[in-house]
Amino acid sequence: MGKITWIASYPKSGNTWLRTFLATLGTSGSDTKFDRLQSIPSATSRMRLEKVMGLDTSWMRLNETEAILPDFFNHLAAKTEGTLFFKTHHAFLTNQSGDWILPQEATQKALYLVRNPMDVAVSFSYHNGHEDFDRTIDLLADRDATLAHQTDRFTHQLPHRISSWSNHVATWRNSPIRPLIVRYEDLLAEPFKCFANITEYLEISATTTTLANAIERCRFEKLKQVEEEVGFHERPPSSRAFFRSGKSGDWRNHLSANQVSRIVDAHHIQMQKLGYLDALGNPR
Amino acid sequence: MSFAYRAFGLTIQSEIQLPLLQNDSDSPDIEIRYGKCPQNLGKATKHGLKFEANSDEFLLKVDGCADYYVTEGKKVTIQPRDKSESAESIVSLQLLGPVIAALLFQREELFLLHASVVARNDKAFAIAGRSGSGKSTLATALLDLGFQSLGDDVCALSFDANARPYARPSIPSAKLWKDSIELLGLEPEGLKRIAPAIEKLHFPLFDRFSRVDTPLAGIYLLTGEHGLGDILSPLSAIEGLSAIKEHQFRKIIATGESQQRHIFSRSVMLANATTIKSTHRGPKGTTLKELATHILNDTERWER
Repeated sequence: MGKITWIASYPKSGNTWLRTFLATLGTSGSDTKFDRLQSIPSATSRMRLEKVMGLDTSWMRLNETEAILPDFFNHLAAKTEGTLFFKTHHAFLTNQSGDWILPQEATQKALYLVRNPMDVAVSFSYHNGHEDFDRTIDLLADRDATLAHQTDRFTHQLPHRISSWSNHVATWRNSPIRPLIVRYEDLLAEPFKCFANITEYLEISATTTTLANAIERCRFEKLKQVEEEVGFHERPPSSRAFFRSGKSGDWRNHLSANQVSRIVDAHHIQMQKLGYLDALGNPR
Repeated sequence: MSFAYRAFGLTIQSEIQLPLLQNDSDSPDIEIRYGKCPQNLGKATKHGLKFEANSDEFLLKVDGCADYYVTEGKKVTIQPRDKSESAESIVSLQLLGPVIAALLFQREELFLLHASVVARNDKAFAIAGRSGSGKSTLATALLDLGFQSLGDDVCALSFDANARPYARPSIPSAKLWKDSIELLGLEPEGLKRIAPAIEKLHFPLFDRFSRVDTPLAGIYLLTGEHGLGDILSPLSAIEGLSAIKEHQFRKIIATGESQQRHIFSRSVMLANATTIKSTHRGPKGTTLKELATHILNDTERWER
């Protein structure tokens, strides 16, 4: 009987960077490879579910998918020894039967990575292949937001609800699996300290040297360079590059005053809690 | 009321209508009936996510839809959980997917690949690949270039005494997403959805369907990605065996030593008897017709 550790975040919040780091940690050498991400697959991979179920899932909509996922994760945990890692963008919600979609009984731990929604708004726009920030700001505020729910084409991902940015943060913060919350901005500012905390929390043994080595091999510039050289399989077709700027505070170069205040109005409670606003409620 | 169909070289007598299949009048090899399924199997040796199985029995329970019980490679019992018309379309999907796979595994006659199959000049070619890689779309495009279909989504292979594989006619209807229908220049008008909530449609292939077992010449393995360089690259024998293993149809369902042995021996025969070519979509901007033409030209050079 194994258990699952979730690497969870709202999209465009550093999930891939963190996964690349964890997948690189156990390897020696100096290369940067995306293939290693297979060791932390997506919780919403349609192929994985189809393999285990033995049936075509294209007829399953959001409700049917959410109904089966708790059993799926419990089944996977029961069939494996040790720890399974999964990446997910799910908000921490229940399905129609009232069961947590990511079941508590199959869970070992969870890491929740969070990023300033101002930067998320910019990054998510580019990710979706446009610069219509207002449209993305609407998406960030939509409590019913769902990814991969197209009904006229094949999607590699199963439909999954991400809800609004604030609700995503709140549902994870209040979830019974009590994740370790890590801010993307802190990972950027103090990578060694933060990654050391993360490995300690996950009970992964790592020496100072292996930590430093993995951090160096997964620097944003390196990831960007590898994507330019060999591409990145998780890049959506509409997006020019998965790894674009990776910086914190880039929103100042893109968002209008009105767009900033729309984001603050919608998300100030969680932003305040996470230190993205100063005492007066102004963006830091 | 009962209906008779032919697929996989078998005559299927069914109480449920399966309009995707061709009619038949022979004495039945398989019976599909409504009835009561067991709650669980007393002696299950495999516990899947929604199914249980041993070497002679298979029980699948799809919540809010139906339960299915398969025995002796002959009998299928369906116990609907939802009697609506929309559920019926999903029942027929599951019947022609995991349920028929379980039955064929029990019979140990055919080897199943997750592939669509086309044939021309007495040579069959399997178009294999993961879900969403474009198997049905490419196979349907090849029908416009003079091929006949031997089935969509599942390639059923028998082997002769010299271990040569033959593709046996499977399902004469392609499942195509709306965007593929548009790409193929087909008319979606009048086509039935495979399930109520999605725009994936049944495209009947009856008029371009071959009813003859055809020697399998090769397998095109779709990556589903665009790429640079040669569109086709042959796999080594060992890569081929591993690809065959990866692309078996619903292999999770096969249960018991005897079924596993049958599958393994057929995988090896298939790897020895055919060439498998990894196939990408060509550089960005390559049209479906260009890709299909590229495959057509390649099949003409294919030696057996």
